[in-house]
Amino acid sequence: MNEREQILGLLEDKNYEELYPILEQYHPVDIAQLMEELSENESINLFSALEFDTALQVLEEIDSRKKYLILTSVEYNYARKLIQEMSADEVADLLGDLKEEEKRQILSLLEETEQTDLIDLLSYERNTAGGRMTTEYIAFPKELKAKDALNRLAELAIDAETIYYVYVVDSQGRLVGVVSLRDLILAPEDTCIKDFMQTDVKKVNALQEQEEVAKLIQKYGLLALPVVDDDNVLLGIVTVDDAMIVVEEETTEDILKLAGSNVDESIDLGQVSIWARAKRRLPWILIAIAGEIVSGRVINDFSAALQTIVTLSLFIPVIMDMGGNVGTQSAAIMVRGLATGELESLSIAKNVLREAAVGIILGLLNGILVAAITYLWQGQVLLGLVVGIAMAFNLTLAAMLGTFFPLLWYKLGQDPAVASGPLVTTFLDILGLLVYFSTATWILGL
Amino acid sequence: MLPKKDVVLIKHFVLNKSDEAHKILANLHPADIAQILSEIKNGNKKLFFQMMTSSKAAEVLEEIEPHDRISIIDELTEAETIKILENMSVDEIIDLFQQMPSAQAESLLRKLPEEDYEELKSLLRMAEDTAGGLMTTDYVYIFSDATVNEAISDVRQFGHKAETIYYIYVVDKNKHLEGVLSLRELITAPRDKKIHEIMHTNIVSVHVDQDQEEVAKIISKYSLLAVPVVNDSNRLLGIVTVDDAMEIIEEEDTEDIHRMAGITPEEDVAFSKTIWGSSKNRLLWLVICLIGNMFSGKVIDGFSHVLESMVALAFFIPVLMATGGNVGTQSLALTVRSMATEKLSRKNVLIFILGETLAGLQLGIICGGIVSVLAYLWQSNIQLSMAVGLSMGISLILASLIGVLVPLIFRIFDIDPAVASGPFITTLVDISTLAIYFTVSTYLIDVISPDLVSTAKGVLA
Repeated sequence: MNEREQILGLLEDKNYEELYPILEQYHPVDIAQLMEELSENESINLFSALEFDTALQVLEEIDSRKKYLILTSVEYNYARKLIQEMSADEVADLLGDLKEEEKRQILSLLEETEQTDLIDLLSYERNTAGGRMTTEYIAFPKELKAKDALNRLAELAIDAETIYYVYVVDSQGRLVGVVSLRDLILAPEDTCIKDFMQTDVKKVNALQEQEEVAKLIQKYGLLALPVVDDDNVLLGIVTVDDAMIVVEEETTEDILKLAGSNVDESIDLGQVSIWARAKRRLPWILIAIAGEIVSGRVINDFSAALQTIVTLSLFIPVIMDMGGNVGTQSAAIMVRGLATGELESLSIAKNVLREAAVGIILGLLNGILVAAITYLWQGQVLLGLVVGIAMAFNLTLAAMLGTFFPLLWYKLGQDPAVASGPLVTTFLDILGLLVYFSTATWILGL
Repeated sequence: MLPKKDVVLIKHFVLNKSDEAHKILANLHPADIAQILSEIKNGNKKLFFQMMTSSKAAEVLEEIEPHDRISIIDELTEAETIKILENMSVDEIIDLFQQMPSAQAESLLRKLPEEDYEELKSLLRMAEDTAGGLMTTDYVYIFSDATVNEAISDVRQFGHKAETIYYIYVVDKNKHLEGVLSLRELITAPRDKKIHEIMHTNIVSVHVDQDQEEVAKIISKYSLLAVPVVNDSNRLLGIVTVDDAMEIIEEEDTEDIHRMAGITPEEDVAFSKTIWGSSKNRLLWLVICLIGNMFSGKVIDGFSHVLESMVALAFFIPVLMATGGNVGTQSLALTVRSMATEKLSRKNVLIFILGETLAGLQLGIICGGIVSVLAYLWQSNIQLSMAVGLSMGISLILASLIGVLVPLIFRIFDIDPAVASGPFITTLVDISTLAIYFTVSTYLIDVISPDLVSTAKGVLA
């Protein structure tokens, strides 16, 4: 980070002659990263030292707070120029993050027509295809010749998010085909677009979830995916780099939900207050506490047995934990399998049966192991038998339930990750203890 | 995704070798054909491939998991296979050969055209999970003294076989990477300009030995469609494209989620096909946790005299253990994910730890309060309810700390932080929670009503 100090030093001394060549060596993404660590004043100074093209790219990379700060700190006309060159989806994302007052401030930098376009974009939920799309795509009529298309493309290229796909629309703006720049360049100059366009266009409806968009882009190896309305009118596109961000977000969401945290939009560490962090973890913990009190009631019901043989309590942790572990494993496999579409069959019965087989294997192996340890530790054959049998039974049950819940949630149209984690483990704890103490009373004749 | 009835129809046409099938397959997207194939019995898959042109067949084969490609190749004759291979991109052929027994790969390799043979041979020597193992050599390059016009006609001429023509790499005559240019910039530039006047010299590239995960992260970070792969002397060897990067990210994400749940990831296949295979992957952490849980049992054992004197203490073991485990796992998930997405830097790590500890404190106060009220309502014993509440508070702070610190410590020792799985953390947290619970309750019950414990001790003695 010596360079960082050097850059800051040069900024402070206003030594731009030495600063420019250093900044030129930097990729805009790296400058943006550097800016995240700078104070407000330092950021503004650094930003003002950038060339326009670099500045624009840096601006697209930094977070919304910094974007707002910079757009309101630089000179009015420069800010106008910047925001007009930013891609529409970036501006929409920025506006979505701002408070009403700040939003108006930013909107005032734009022309009226641009304002209405943006307000349209903002009307889509953020995590839908519509919320993710940009309107800066290129669309041509199908009668255009390849040669003319290329020429017009060259003119339009500067403003478009991607020119690698050209969409083909009819007079009503309905999507009828797609041509890649590659096809366009390789096609004979005099052919019409309609003669070589692909008519089987992969597309999404604007209201579809962003997850679906990322899945399609990934499955078909696309660089961008067109977004249409119910009448198949082309509204915008989502590009592959945005799809990668979606994949990252969705995975984070799944991991946090699996661990029983609610997820709100920003997972940004710097901006979330401690109370907010605690709050989104609280609901599942409280539900789990309620469930575990029921577990306690189970022990209560068997307290006579426990009083006779206090040793039984030594195995409460292993019985509870192991069931939870196997349940979590199964749930994680299901949640991930559903997210990537790698799950071979969606049938609940099939998956539960398959996992049951896995559960039986795990149950037998761990049951034998725990029975042996119990015997060695306590020197009682029957106690070993009780713990072993309960373990085997529990793990089988755990694998089945860990599979069943997420799949059920999925079939009900809910997020499967929510039904995993704490919900499954709590349920398994109650069942596990019930199985354990019932086995004990039965075998030990209590 | 295709509607179900279309799939049934397509299967029907192909399996009955109807003439319609040729036309239908020609119009389908390769990824869709691959999906249909996954539902076809082995032995019948060859019918599909025999009804497609070899370039389409190559595209379809590229869409299929490397692992499943072998069984298809086995159905086809060698001549059919060679024809398909000739149409596949180099990186995909490499993936395929790496899955095959080396004798089979070698014999196929020898039947391929001479110039491909040498290139493939050298690529096969690269480690599978590095930039070198991932890259393709089908890219477009030009020289810096060419004009824009010449460059465009080069792209036209060589573009057919290239994996992407959207980035054009500029090299000197020894193939050292000098610059890069997007096709967008090329077609918008004046036709008579020289390439070196418009190319970018500030290039993001990766080294041939770089780990595939880093390559994917670089592509994602700089929003690239492809990244050039170079050796020590900056010679251009190949490119890795964005679709490969997305696949890697997906694989790595699956690995992270599975690890978090205590499942040992497999080398290649995200999903184990056999039941024993998936049991095996899950066993390691289960056994480790089982042994860890015995220590929890040991803790209870150490306090069994307290438990004997007051069985009601046992009723709250589940709620304390489970809540501690839940909070620990939550902190773990947040930490592991923050590290994976590079949101944790040296600068903010202390703030992060502090924040999580405070969040744990907050959760501890809330949950401790609630559980002690519940305990009082249930057992109407003030000492017991205090003991349960206080233990909950302390153990949740500790649970957050364990969930945050263990993966951080793992990283210091260069162990993948996701290895610190949920089950492992839960086991650690359980031991600490039980120790806290019994210490606190012994103390409270001892202080407030000493005769309770001492009589029990007397009985034991």
